[in-house]
Amino acid sequence: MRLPVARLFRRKAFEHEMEEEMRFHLDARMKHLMAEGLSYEEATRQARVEFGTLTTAKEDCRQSSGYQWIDSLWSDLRYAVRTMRRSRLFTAVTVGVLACGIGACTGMFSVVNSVLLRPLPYPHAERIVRILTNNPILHISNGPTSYADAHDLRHPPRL
Amino acid sequence: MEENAALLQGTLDMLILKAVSLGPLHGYGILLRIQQMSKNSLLVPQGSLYPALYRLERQKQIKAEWGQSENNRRAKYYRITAAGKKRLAHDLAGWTRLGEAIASIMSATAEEV
Repeated sequence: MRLPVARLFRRKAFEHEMEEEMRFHLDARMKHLMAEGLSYEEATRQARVEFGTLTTAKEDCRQSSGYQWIDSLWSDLRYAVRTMRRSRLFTAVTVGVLACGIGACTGMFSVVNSVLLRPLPYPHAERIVRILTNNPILHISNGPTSYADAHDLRHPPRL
Repeated sequence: MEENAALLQGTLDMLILKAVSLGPLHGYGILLRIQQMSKNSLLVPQGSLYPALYRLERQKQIKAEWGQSENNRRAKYYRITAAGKKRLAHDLAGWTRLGEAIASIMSATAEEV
């Protein structure tokens, strides 16, 4: 029903609802105990004792609702930031290396993508050919083709 | 230790499912109904009730929605789902089998062995 990421945004509502639900429980228990003859103070105390540690119950609820990973993710992130602050030079070098690596990769890919991967922007790009000319007299192999030669190839002269 | 806790947890889940299978209840109502059904011989740990409820809700065996309580306060009511009913029947069968097995062990006499 709910994506794990959606939990991130529902976190506040979850905490509120859990708080309200447990407060309702404690109040109901207290009223019940008062109806059995306990004083307000006694009933309040008794209800809390019976419920056990509120923070433990909440922590267990977060865990069984699958909110635990958000908390551990946060503490991991905070720990990472603290560590990076402590060794600034290392952080700078790491960031530099990563930036260069990512930059080089992106640059390379952009070239490869436009030159090799993407077809030429002409109709029937797969049929486009390049004609090379060998000229044994001038010792040129795979040389350019003149317009006149290309024209002759397209319209062979009738002999 | 681990085995005991697991058994206890499984039992609480089953008891909660049974309680809400008789009609929607809020957390405190579930506690009262379990105690009443056990003729007050069972003490449900109140602090573990909510983690169990949240776990069952996450497993879609119960469904929670906010409603009005008897004394007109907003309360979260739990009702059983189809998956919950299935799990309850399964747990009940397992529990009955276990109970019968233990009962027949404990009532065995020297001649039978």
